[in-house]
Amino acid sequence: MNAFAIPDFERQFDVRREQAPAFPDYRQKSLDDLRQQGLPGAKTEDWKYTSVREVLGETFVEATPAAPVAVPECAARHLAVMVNGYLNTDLSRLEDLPEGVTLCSLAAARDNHRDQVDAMLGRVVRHDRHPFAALNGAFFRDGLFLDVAPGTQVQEPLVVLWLSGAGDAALIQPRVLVRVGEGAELALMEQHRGSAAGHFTNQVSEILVGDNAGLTQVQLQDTGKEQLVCGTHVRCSRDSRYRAQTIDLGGKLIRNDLAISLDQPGAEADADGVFLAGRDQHVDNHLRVDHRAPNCDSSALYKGLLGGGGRGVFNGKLIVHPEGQKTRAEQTNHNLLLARDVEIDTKPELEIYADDVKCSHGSTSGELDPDQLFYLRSRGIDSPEARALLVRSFALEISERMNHSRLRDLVGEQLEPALDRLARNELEG
Amino acid sequence: MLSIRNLRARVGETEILKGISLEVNPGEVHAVMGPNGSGKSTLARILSGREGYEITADKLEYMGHDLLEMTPEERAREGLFMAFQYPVEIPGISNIQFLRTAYNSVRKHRGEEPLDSVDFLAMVKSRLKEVDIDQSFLRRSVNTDFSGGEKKRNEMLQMLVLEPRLAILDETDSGLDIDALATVAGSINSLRSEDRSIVMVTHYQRLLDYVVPDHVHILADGRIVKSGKADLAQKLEKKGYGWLAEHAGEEAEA
Ligand SMILES: Nc1ncnc2c1ncn2[C@@H]1O[C@H](COP(=O)(O)OP(=O)(O)OP(=O)(O)O)[C@@H](O)[C@H]1O
Ligand SMILES: [Mg+2]
Repeated sequence: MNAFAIPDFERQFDVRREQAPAFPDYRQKSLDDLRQQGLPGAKTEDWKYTSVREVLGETFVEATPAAPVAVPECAARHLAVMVNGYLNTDLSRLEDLPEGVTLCSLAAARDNHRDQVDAMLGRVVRHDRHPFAALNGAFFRDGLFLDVAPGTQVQEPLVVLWLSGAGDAALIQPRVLVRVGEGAELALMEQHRGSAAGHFTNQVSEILVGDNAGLTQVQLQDTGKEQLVCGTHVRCSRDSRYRAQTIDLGGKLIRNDLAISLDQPGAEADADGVFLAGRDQHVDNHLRVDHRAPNCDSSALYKGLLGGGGRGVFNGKLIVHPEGQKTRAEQTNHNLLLARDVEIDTKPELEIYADDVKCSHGSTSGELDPDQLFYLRSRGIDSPEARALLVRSFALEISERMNHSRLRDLVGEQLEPALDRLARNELEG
Repeated sequence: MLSIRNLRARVGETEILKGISLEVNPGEVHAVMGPNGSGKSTLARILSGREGYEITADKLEYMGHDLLEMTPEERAREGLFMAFQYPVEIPGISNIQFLRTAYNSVRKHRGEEPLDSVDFLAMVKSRLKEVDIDQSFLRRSVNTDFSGGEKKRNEMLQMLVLEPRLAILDETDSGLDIDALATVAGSINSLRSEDRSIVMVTHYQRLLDYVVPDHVHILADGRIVKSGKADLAQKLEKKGYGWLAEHAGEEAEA
């Protein structure tokens, strides 16, 4: 099996070229972009607080689709199971998907939906300042293609389970293309579940939300000993609605780059998140929202909860371009520090190049309020339960903002027990 | 019920309570009055277990237990209740969830089964009427954006649900309009019984017209400077705290 050390990407690329992989032009462009900006190091601004030294020092094997996996129980009606970045149709449940929904591997889409793939691949993602996206572009093997035809409604959530198999530390680099056609509606829940092996996943998703379309996307990440870098790049058309919730239940290293571009008038985007980090866990959320057209709204609320030894990073960028008149936008990050030995770096940034806008941003970090704790205890509620109640109430504000009730329940089932573990200081990587 | 002898409390270099002694027997209602900053709330907070004070006492017992050995939640489960002068807002926790968690914590302590949400709701609804709170308040976050009077009535609701043996009410009558005062007084009176005791901290005679105390104590500068019957409060109302200073040398009537 092919050994792959990421810093060795030039030679790896040459080796692969021999095998004449698909999409050679895009791969070459990605390689050029990667070469130009280089891999992130201690001096790279966007990676100042998140070190990938360990990932860059590792030699991985290339992920294969045929790894043995344990599939967690999942009652979802529509289920796509991805193993090491490859769609596994045997483990999936796709029969009930409404007509108008196309879901297949990226390899299959290349054969059967070539025009659509060509129209999307590399056209939503930005490589500049996203070196891992360029790396993915140069080397991705397969991934997922999801197309919701105009007018199609998928109300019952489609769950995509990202699993990794046992075995040597593997490099998993899937590419995901999602298009929600005009007037269509999709509820999507992606869940990353890490195994005990030391894999590294570098995922890139390119998402188009069409005119007057709606996409509600949950990304729930619980990666254990694995490391995950996840880039989600979204473009929103006229009058569309994109709602994202990123729920991080902890992991050795999780880095999300969610980049939303509101391209046409009337588009709306909400990006909310909850991140939990306990001992030996590091969670980094980078959010960027670009307002490139008038009359677009966006809001973001991220809540971080850090237990003993946990490390969190939030960076929110809100950019209103000159075309973005009548923008209404806000970005907020609140963090709850549940122990002394935690670290949080939070930075909301605002860049405004239009004059008629309403924008706000802010962040706070603090411990549990002793007055609230005492109030609860003075009514007979013991200290651990009082802590757990306050921790829950802090995080569940995000759930209350989710108006898709099935997605809210699916998230709650996993978020609530994780919050209780965090409150008891038992969350560990 | 409550037995305090020579209680002193300090924060850093500041001594706030300077030797307080007080006996409260079952069935009694005591009123504690005194100027701003005299230490009334500090006394109430210490009795309910607030941390952050250095405390010494020759005796500090509730129902025969050494209070200093008990956590705030143990005190509450043993029937000690303090209505806060400034009730705390807790966004994100609904009033009903808060009440039920508290109630079931107390039940569990007594070895009783927890009440499920249906039965609990039925019980709470009947209490709501007594304190004149609309049912919609159950779904709202604890005290969050409640008016001053609503917060005070919410304290009374908690008291009625938890049915304490010793209720310490820190200025529950302050800031209430006349109707609300009558409601709150009604709650306090409904709790009154032979085996329960009430300590009311107040600035105003008007509450004492509704809930007539057995004993009145005047706290000034961390000490009880005078104790008497209900008429002491009336004298105070007429003459003000200045009158006390003139009689500072006189023996307390007890
Ligand atoms: N944690 C603290 N640190 C320092 N000083 C304190 C602390 N708590 C209370 N004090 C001081 O102790 C004194 C008594 O305060 P307390 O709140 O008990 O007064 P009070 O009698 O309840 O007054 P009021 O009638 O205004 O409610 C005040 O001077 C107050 O500033
Ligand atoms: Mg006071």
